[in-house]
Parts: sequence; C-alpha cells; structure tokens
Amino acid sequence: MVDHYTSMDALFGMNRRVFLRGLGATTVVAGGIVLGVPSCTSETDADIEKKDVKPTPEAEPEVETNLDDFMKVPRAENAIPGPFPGKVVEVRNPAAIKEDSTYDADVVAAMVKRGICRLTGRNMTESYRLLFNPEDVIGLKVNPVGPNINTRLEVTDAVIKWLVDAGHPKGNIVIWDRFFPMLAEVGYTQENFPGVRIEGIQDLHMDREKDAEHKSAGNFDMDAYYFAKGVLGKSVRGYKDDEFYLNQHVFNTEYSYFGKLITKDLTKIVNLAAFKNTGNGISMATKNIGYAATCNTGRLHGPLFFDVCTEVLAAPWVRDKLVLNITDGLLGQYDGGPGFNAQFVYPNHTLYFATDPFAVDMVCHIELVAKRKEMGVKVDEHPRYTAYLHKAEKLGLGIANMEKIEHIRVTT
Amino acid sequence: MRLLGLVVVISILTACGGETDRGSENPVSGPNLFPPTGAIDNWKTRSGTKRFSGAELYGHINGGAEIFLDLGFERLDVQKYAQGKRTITVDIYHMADRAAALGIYLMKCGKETPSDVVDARHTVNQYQLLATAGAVYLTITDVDGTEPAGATLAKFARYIMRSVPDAGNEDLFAALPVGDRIVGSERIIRGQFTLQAIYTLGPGDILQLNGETTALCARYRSGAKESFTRLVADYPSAAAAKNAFDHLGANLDSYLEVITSRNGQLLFKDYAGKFGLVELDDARLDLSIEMARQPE
Repeated sequence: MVDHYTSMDALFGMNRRVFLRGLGATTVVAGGIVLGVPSCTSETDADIEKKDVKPTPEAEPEVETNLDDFMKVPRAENAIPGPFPGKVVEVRNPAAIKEDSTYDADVVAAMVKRGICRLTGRNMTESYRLLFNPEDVIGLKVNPVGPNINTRLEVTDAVIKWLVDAGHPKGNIVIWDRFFPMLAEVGYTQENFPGVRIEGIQDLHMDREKDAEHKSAGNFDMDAYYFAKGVLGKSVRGYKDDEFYLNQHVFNTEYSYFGKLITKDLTKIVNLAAFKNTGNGISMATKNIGYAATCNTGRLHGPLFFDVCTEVLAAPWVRDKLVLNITDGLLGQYDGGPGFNAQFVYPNHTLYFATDPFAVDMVCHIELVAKRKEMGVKVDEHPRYTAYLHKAEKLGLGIANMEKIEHIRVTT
Repeated sequence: MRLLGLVVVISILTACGGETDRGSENPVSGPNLFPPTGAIDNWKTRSGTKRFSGAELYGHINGGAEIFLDLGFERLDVQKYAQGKRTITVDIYHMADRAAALGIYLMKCGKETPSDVVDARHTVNQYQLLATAGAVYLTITDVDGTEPAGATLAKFARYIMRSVPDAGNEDLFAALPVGDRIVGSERIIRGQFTLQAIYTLGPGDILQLNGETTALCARYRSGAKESFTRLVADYPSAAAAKNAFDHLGANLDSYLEVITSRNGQLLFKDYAGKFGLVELDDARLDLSIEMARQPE
C-alpha cells in the first residue's frame, strides 16, 4: 500500500500517539441517549416545586473524548464540509426501480450524473477534477446491510464509471466496509467489480483462542484512534463475555483504532450510505462512516451513540478525505432499523448528493420523520436525535440548520 | 439481479457496527417448532439450527437487541430452508411471556396485512411474515420476495404457530380505557428502550420499570385532528409507584419544563410545546403526554 496521506506526524514533527496523548482527552460529550445513567438522588415534591428552571444538559452523564485533539489539527484543503457546505441535491426518478423490482442501471447512472453535476455546477469531468486527482486512492464506503436496504450495486457501478471515464485508474478505486464478509454477501465481489479493489477493514475471529490476538489486529493503526475515557470494551452489556466481544471488535480498551486502510492507504473517500432509521434517528451518511472507520465500537453505542457520528468524522483521517456523499434512497426503511425489516421498506426513488455529510443527514432525517408520520409511526422528535448534527455545525464540519441548507429537488 | 440469494443473518446486521450471527450450531434442545425437511412443499432445512440465548442476541442483532431484552427475551432459534436457489429464514423468538412477545410484535408489525391461512396474529408481505402467539414472536423472511402475497411464508407460520404452547388469552390492555383509543397504537413498555420509542421522559429507566413492571401505552383521539398518548404502569406496591414518581420528577429530561409538581401530580411542557401530566394513584402511575392543550 502506498501512503499518499500527509500524516499528523509530518504535520507536527512528532509522534502522533505522543501528540494525542500529550494533549490529553479534554472534550466532554453529553451521553445517554441509549444507555444514559440517571442520577438516583431523590427529591421531595416541595423541592421539585421550587424548580423554576429546567435542568441543564450539563447535568447529564458526560464522556471525555479526544475530539479537541482532532480539531486542533489544521484542516486539509478537502476537509468537510467541502466546497459546497449546506448544499444538498436530491434526484428522484420512479423509473429507477422496474416493475419486477429490479433496478434500471441506466436510469440510476443518469440520476448519479444529474446529482453530481447539479451539486458541483460542472460537468462530470470537471466535477471529477474538482474532487479528485488521478493519483488518489479513492475509497467507496458502501453500506452492505442486507437485502433491499443497502448501497445498490447499480449506484456503486455508476460512481466507478464516472471515475474511470474521467481517467482514474481502476486499480486505485477501493470498495470498502468495516466487515469483509458483509461485502460479498450483498454482491460486492471481484467478479462483479473486476479491476476494483474490495476490502474490509476487519474480519470476524469467532474461533479465536482465549488471549490470542485477533487476526485483524494488524489492520488497525495504533497511532490513530478515537478515545473515550472510561468507555471500555469490557463487560459491555449484551455480550456474553469479553472474549466474545473481542472476537467481533478486535480490541476492548478505551481506544477505537482507525483502520490502516483509511489512515495510510486511501486519500479520498466517497460515502455511499443506505437510507434507513435507527430508532428515532437515522443511520445514514454520518453513521456509515462513524461506526465503520474504527474497531471496538460496541462500547460506544450506549454512552456516545450519535456523538460518534460527529466525532469520528472530525478525525483528520476522515475529515480531510471525505469529499462526496451519495445516500442511496432508492429504497428506504422508515422503521425497524437499522436492521432489515421488510414491513417498513418502501420505494423512495431518490438519491441524495452532498459534499457536506451533516447537511445531507439533516435533510434525510427530516424526510424520514415525515415518512414515519405519514405511515402512522409514533415519532419522538426530541432534539437529541439531531443534536449531533448541530454539534457538527458548531465545529465547522457541516451545516445542520435547515434555514442555511440549500436543498435542491430534481425530478427526472 | 445480483442481490438475490442474500443471507438473512446479514440482513439484520446494523449498518456499520454490526455483528454477524455466530450462534451455536449444536442440536437445539427444548421444543422444536421448526418444520422438518419436506413438511412445507419441497423446502429442505439448510445447515443446523442456531440458538442465541439471553444477551447473546447481540451477536445476532445489534442496534435492536435492546428492545427484546427490555421486554423479556429468553432465546432465539434460527433455521434456514432452501428450495432450489430460494432461501427462507425462520427466526423463532422465545420471549419471557405473552406480553413480551406481543410487545415486540407491536413494535415491529406496522400496519397489519394478514392472510387468511394463519390463525395467530400476524402480518405478511412478499418479503416477510411477522407473527405472535403465546410467548413466541416469529419472523419468516424470503429475501427474494418471490411471491407477492407471501403464500409460502404463511404456510410456514401456520405449521409453526399451531404448536406454540398456549399462554392465556386475557386482554393485556385491559388497564387502558377503550373509548377513543386508536386501534393499532397499543404498545407494551418494560424499560428504557421500549419507552424511548414512545417519548423521552428522562435518562435511563426513568419509570423504574426494571423489566418487571409492565406499562401499557396507546394513542387516544382528543379532537378532530388531535391526539395524545396515555401510559399506565401498575407497580407491585404503592411505595414502588411513589419511588418511580419521585425519580421521574428528580430526573426529568432537560427539554421538559416543569409547570407544577404537587400532591402526586407533575405537569410539564415539552420541547414541542405540548403538555404532559403524570399522576400518582396508589400503585399506579398514569401519564398523559403530548397533549395539545394544558389540562385544567
């Protein structure tokens, strides 16, 4: 693998691990959407009656992370939100899905072309030159969840065709996901994508001997990590034991290491997410990267959940490389997610385009909530379910305020 | 279409942090509800039955296992069937009791579209059949969606559900008035994760249900275009209900503004400008939330 990325070591002339640890983990995140731990102090009615101000978010459980360290690293030229902050183009075409439930690849390709050109205001070749150069190793992060709800192969095909037609070497295109087995299961195989690299950051190691190193341990960059103080991949609720956790998550410390594929190999990332809910929130562009770029994520779901979708994307190894997001909403799933639940799958006929991952997630969140209401699903619209997007805006990583978002709808 | 022939265990993984299923493939003990090879047309069992007990469910479904565990989950048995290139996967969830099985079904079923051939409560489309009977919650999935009405899925369900042990037939929602209740809006809540799907009252198990106290919930019409949610929880004792009431008051979500709290009543306004009223009545907590108007 060729390292095309200017590492933090080079930027600072110091060891990355020393740099990050030296700064310490200083950022505090309010957690608890899923597994928040309440204060168990009890008050009397009289005490409560005296309250004339609502509790502040600061009273909630907090987790220290190394977000501040990420933000101190100067941003690269391509850093999110990219050249079009807050701009989201959605392209709709009911002809993309044929009567027999298969997909019309030509229609999908035309939708991809329309979306990219409308987003950039340029033709396809110029759009390519705006976002890439021929030396780039471009990683297409797909979302192979399962039947129906995933990144359609036709969408990925269209993106590859765009890159290759613009002169990009096919061998410098990588289709990737965190778990290798899932790619093949939905059709991301060498047979279907000849000449393109297909890589998972890790495998599962279910027959691992106790205390043995996970077979994918070497795939992770020990100098690049997302730190969450006190959030250990040990004794995580729901795993029968720590060995079982390790089989899936490789490490079980306070550190979630980034895959070397991301830190040392890829120079650009195109994010191809699927369109689905996770509880009252969404599992789309930012979660597609946030929970796939590192290992040891099982520990994060409870205390940090959506915050991970902002903070992992703030890491330089992601932030400075993620140049385009295309959310595949040809089919959508409005409830029962993030896993497949056929009862709630519907034809949405739409692809969403943005260089700003947070803006596209906000648009998709609003559209999915509207769909949930339309279908009579009880919706909890608590602000917490989009707080991570607004947090990203405060950090300058994207736009979440709908009044600032330029939302363009194109019907073909 | 290149996506045909997918494996369902992968289908129910989460998007990114998902884990794949690696349950035990040892022979499954206990009642075997699965149709043997040939029992349903020419469908043959493929590989062994996998079993996930208790928290092992996280090894099969991640990002959704919490609600099963919240309601009361004992084990999941998974069996795949093959007929030519087609695959059907049957997931039989053995829940703690009938309320747990019905609770998960109600969270997953959406608008029900039943067939005529299955007696148990169910809904079916070309891809999936969901059903519940006794303490069992059943999903049967045909990833190819070969048959528009899911006829084969219904055959499997009929075979399986006729052998499910009876678990009573009392009205689990008897504590909720029928009146203006919106049919299909009923839900069962036993902890923080099942409550989160309804409303955010506060962090953690804010109602102190602990997976043991069952709260019942439904939407009610309150006007031509208005509705609100009512939730009733009957605790083991008046003291337990009082503790839960106090805990709620002390840890109310930061986006909820307390208007008054006195004499076993807590009135608040939420982030959407709607009102909530919590009333303590002996061993019961009675909540009305998302009301358009402030109650008098």
